[in-house]
Amino acid sequence: MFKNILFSILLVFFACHISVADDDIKSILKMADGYRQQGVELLIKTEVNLYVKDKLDKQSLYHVFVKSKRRSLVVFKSAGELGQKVLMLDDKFWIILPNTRRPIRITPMQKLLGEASVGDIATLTWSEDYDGTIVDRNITEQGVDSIKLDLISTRKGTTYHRIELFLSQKDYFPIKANLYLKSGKLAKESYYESGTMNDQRRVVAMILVDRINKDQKTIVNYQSMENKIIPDKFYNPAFLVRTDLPD
Amino acid sequence: MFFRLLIWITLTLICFPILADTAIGYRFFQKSSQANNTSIFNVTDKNDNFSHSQLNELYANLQVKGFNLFATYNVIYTEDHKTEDDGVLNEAYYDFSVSSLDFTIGKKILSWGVGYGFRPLDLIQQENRRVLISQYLEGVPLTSAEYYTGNSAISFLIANRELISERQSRSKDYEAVVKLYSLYNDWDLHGVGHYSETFGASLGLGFSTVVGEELELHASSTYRSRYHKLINVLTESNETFALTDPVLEKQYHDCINAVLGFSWTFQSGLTVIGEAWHDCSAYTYSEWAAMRDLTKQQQLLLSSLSQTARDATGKQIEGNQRYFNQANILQNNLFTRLSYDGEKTDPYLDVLLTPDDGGVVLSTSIEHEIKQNILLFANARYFTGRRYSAYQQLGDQALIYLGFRAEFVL
Repeated sequence: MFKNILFSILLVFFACHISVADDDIKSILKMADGYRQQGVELLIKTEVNLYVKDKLDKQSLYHVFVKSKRRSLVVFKSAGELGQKVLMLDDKFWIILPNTRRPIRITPMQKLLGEASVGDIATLTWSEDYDGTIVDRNITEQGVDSIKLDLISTRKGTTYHRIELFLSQKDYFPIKANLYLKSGKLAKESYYESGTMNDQRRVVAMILVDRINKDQKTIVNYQSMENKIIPDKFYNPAFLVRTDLPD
Repeated sequence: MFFRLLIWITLTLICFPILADTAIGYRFFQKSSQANNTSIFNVTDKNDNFSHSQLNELYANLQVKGFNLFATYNVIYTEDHKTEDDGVLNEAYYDFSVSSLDFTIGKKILSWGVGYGFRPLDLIQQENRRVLISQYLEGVPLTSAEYYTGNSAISFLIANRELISERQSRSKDYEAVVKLYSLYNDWDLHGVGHYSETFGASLGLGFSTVVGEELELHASSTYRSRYHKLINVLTESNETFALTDPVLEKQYHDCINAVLGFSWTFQSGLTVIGEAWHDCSAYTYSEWAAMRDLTKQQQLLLSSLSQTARDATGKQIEGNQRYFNQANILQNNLFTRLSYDGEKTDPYLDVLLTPDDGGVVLSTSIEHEIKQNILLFANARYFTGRRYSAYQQLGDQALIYLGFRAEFVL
């Protein structure tokens, strides 16, 4: 009898403890997300520079429309890609290629293998896609007193299955992330540059160091971020053929 | 034509770059083909096994606030020093909204189907999906009204297409379409109802879906109340020679097109596509066999005829090759492709099999990005299979394309 009561008390204790820990992680991630994406309906103009052996190899421009319920639409603006769009609804993906008039359903793996930066620029939140634990509350990263989180994807279709995320102890500003594929392989390291956008402290650039193709580095510059009310129909896969999108 | 296009491009360059997304592209390739001297349709005594031609293509694409222009201009140089040029305004249309309805007016390419090698749902514009070098379609004059919700859409469309018959006579075809789309859980569902003065009523249904992280499945099918096919009327008689052109465009009724397929993408970057399709407007095996036997008989006749009669019969044999002027020659087709998505280099290898006659088409391609927006490519195709399969009787045994493509945004 005593053993049963003790067991029940311990069970309740651990359940409460886990719940507090989960809330802690979610609220920390939401605060970190706030430096990358403020608001739920946004148009983010993004420039992506790919460097190979420290030499600029490719420069691309994207307009990224983001809306609640994990909806995002990436519109390609560069030569060779003009007119291309990628639509992401939760864990479902579609692509429309330049000079075609037919959206194609693609698998999460095809999205992952496509233009790698698309996954990196279209998803700006960790709190909706990942869960995990704080594995170190007192660590120095890039000279900043940080906490280290170990995050695991809770959804299919995320670009990275596991993330080791370093956030500033002071205000949870993202410092660095180690991005792992499902195979467990370290794919990229990302570093976050602090700056001011719309009069607030923001991540203004993200540097992605490729750990698989070791001579490659990508710098993602967030040129502007503005609130934009976009009707639901713009995130309808059939709407991809239309060209009357807002700027 | 060249000057008109030049004026159009100049105006585009001057007026729109600030306001619009404008892309200018250039493509050049050399086509080399090896003649199929063993074809029963071959009537020439030419010794040169290979022929070559070059194509230069300039295209411009402009988009501003729903207004779209897309034009191409081609110059082809053939081996016998002939030059052919052609300019096409492929698209000129305007997308706009009034209240909750979305409209399109103008000339637009229409592409609705699911799948890779054959798309039965493309009821107005059937693109030849298996050409080695992509070709830009010319749009159809249309007016459409659409209503979109977050995950469904209904479209009404009236099109006015110009049809060019086998004998090059032109006629207008008025068409009406109702198109439905819905995203239901993980399923993309498509429905198309189509009526045309020339082709009657058609109805199509299709879907695509994703299973797990790597597998995509798709299928579609259409019922067509009327369709047209070129038939050599001599195959329906015991005759081997006609005084007039025996190949006629005949109308048939009630048929079903269908495609079923998948694509499987692995983390390594490899993708496997598999498809099976039935194209009812292509030839049945018995129709092809009748044509093949007729041509063999005509070939046997050649040696015993006078020069005049031999020329006339030779022309009829050449005319029989019009059976090959369509995307699918035989109705039943199996297709598989292995491709690799690389950082700079994208190769593929595919095989098309026509199980009814044992025909095989092998195709391969490699594209390499040498600089941002500048691509080199090499494509090749080889026709093989059983001796008297349709693909073994084409005029060419092998095709090779070598070229490059560059595009710039203004």
